[in-house]
Amino acid sequence: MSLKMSCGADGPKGASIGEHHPFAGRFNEVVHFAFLEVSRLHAPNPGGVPKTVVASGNKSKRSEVKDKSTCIFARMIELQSITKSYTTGSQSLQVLKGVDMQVSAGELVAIMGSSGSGKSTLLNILGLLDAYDGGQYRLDGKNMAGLSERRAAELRREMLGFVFQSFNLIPFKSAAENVALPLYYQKVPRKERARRSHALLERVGLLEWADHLPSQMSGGQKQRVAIARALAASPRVILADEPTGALDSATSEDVMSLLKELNGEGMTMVVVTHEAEIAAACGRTIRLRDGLVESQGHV
Amino acid sequence: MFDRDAWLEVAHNVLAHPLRTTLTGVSVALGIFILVVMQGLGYGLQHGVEGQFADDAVNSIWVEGGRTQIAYRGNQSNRPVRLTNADLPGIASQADTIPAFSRRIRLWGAEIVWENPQGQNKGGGYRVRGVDPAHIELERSVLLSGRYINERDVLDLRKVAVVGPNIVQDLFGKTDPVGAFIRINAVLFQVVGTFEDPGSRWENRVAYIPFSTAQQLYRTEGWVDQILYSTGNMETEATVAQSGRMLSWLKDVKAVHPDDSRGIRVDNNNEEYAMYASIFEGIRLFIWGIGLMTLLAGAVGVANILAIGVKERTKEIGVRKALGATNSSIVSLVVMESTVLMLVSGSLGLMLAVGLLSVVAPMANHEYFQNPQVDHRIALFALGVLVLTGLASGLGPALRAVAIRPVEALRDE
Repeated sequence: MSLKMSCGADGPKGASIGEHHPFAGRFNEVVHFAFLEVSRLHAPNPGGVPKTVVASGNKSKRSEVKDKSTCIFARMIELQSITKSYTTGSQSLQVLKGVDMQVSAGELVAIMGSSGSGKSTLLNILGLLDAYDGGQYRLDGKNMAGLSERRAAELRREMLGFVFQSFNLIPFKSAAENVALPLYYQKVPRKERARRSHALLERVGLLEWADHLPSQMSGGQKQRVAIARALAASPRVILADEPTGALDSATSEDVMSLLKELNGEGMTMVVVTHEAEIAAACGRTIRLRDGLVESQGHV
Repeated sequence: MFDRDAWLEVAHNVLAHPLRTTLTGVSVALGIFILVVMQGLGYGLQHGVEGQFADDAVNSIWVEGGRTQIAYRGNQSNRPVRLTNADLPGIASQADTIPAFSRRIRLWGAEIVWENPQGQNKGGGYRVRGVDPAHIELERSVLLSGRYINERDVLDLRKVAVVGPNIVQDLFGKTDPVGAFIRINAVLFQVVGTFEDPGSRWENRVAYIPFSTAQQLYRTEGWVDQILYSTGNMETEATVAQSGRMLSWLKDVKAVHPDDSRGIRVDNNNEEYAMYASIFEGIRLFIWGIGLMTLLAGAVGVANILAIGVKERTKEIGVRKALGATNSSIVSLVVMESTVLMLVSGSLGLMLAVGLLSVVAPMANHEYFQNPQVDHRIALFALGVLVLTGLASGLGPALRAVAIRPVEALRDE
């Protein structure tokens, strides 16, 4: 199966029209969802691992995919005038000064910007890891204003997968246990957790490393475990903070192609990066400058 | 509600940090171990002292004559001072109330012989005491069979005897001595009872006979070797005042110099017991103090280790939150971890201490140290203190850790 052909994120290189074309986003999504439906019907699914991650065997999610195939402009992430400031002592620093951005379902979007432009803050707000001060954030159409800690945890558990620059694997847990951790919080039974974590490790090519501790793995392997972990709970969106920041270029490519592969299967992805090559590999780039969106390509 | 998964996660986390777990566990186990062992030793000392006073009633006053050291009122020093029957009314008037009273005559080496049915003589040297009926309470003897000396025996100068277990064993073996006739220094007495005395082995080599009989046989001058009386429920201070009054009066009557400490002896068991009791109470308090300090040190150590442990895990906690953990699930995880650790290691310390004391107890048979034992209430109290400390010291840092937003916990330093 040709992933490139399916992936709207591939932009000019694939079977899509150029990024700067006024209908680019729309066209890409049509192609993308058409492919999704086909791949879901025909793709073999060895080991019970959801090849199409969005359609992960969860009934409600499967029906959502169907809904989206009819509503091709589904906004997964929508920010309007988001502001955020931090107070250190008596000094207040406004990091985000009114960010507007949208990410459609199935998109692979890069967020770029110089150091201090607010991209990590933005990602944390997107990931419900941090609260915003003003504006509106809609995730999958739902308003995220005034979420309780418990509800935020629930949404993180069900909707979001995280990939961090420094992997953030739990050092005393094996690769399989790390991958299974989100499932633990979803109260998936132990045996099922083990089965799914092993399947996900196989998916990222690390099945034989299942029982190894993070300290016994290379950076690239750790990041693949982290990606498998992000996928474990069958999220709708993966948020990656400098996912290749701690990796050499060959490994970076490896990790990016894995992320792209997942995106090709329909996963919405937001990647914060300062590396142009990484951004280039994404379908669209949102540039931040001094807490504002400088450009966000065509939505 | 038992959540197997949560407990497995707890067990995994505890076992995944062997050094931290060992350090915490050793602090807890040591705290409990030292406290329980110290308490056990304290009890050993207490039992030792109580054993010392098991011989005689602790609320008794013992009066006896001695020899003067100071010449006084025309009398030379080194004069023996004798109590006599004539002193009794005066002594009684000095004591406010006398719930129990006995005179006593002591024979240190009397020959006691029993002729058994086969015509064989069995005998040996024993102590003989002439006493009044109340003596059984004042000496804290325990009647084993038959009866003790009674009023009638004293009034009628009967030749009856109550014998101790050593005499029974030496002379009679398995034969019941009650009703048998024995010779005490060649005078025939009938055995009317047997007793034992928990005080010391010497007290079990004694035969008691009526005071009047003994006086007639051995103190023809009308002398009384000792006078014992009980002070009932009187407070120690009151008994001290009373025995002081008694001593002054006796010294005056017997012409003993007020500063002469050997002429007349008035021993107040109340006072001695109170003194020993206060000394050993002090020792026990001291042991308690050391035990509590050890426990406190252990608790502080545990609190430190747990606090550092949680601090170290700030990032892990951030990751768990990013993966969907709620604050309460994280707090309960940390609290369950510390509780399990405390309980397991505390119980180990407790078992070790109990084991040690049960090994030591049979060997400990010193005069002032007997039968050390574990006070289970103290052991459970100590365990409770440590578990609560563990909870508190785990809870604080855990609450602080979850209060940190995951974004800060996950930030790369």
